[in-house]
Amino acid sequence: MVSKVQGLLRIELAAHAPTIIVSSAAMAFAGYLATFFEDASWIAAEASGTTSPSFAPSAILVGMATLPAIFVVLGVYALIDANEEALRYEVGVYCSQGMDGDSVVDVWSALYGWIPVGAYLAGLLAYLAFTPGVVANLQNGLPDIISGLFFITGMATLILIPTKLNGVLETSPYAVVRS
Amino acid sequence: MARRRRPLRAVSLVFAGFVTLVLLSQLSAYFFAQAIPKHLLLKNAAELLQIQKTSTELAFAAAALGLVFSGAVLLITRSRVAADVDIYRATGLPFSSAFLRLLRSHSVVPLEWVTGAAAVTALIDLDFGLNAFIPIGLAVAFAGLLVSWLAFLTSASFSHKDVEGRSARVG
Repeated sequence: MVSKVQGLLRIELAAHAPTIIVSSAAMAFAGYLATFFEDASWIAAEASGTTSPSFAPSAILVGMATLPAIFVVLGVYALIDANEEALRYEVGVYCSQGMDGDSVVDVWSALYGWIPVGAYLAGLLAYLAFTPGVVANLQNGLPDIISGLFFITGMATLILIPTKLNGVLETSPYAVVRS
Repeated sequence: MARRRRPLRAVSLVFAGFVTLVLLSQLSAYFFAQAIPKHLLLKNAAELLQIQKTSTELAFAAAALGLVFSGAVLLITRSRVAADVDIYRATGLPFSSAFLRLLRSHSVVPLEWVTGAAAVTALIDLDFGLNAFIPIGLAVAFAGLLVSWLAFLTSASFSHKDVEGRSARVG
């Protein structure tokens, strides 16, 4: 069974490569943008002190950092929605070959969930790597910022995308046969 | 009754999402400038300039990525939209009528979304004194991409018909 799932992962990775690349590029960009917002917020807070009213715009920037990933996850959701009929057909074919429907959804969740989330983390770290002085600016806050943004994005992605994919599975001919 | 599927429903979300992403990139420079007290502006002028430059670059990058992302959605939904054109062609409609019907059934909702997002974004940009041309330009590019894609699909289907007709006459 494990080798079947591995084989399925390889096949699906090759078949869905263009959409996975586009999703991952967008998520990496969202990560890059989020770290930029955080960095701008910290520079502003450092320059102005943390007293109101200067603190408010800086806090707004921190809140804004979570938004790019949410919009991109909605975009990935839209990509899956656009591809729904093809996915329904695919799950039917795999199930007719003796593959469990839930394993197919797990593979898709890895491709459209975990890979984009990994790309988001890479985007977060890319801003740190390619912009001099950011690590020094963020200092002690850096682990909290990275883990917080990663957690929020990971939760949003890994709830929304598998829910959509399970919806595809439930409306596929496989579900009708199983019931 | 079965719900009628709109293949390009997904592209509406992508259009609106990326227009908002452009707005967020632009707003970052504004909030950064607001966070720095007036008497410290001169001292932090270099950083302010750097943040403004990066935020404009990121706004353009978000716009470019939005176009790529919507292009991907349009490519994915190609077969379903092309099937509609084939049906219009099979019923004997001329090119212009088929194209207009395609526009009416597939482009109204995405264009409403992108117009709405662009209008809200432009108003916010104007209110905050930012460059409203970037989101408006992106919205126009989205609309152009969608309409030209539908025109391409229609003409591809009708040119296919011409080839079929010529082959039948030769046969």
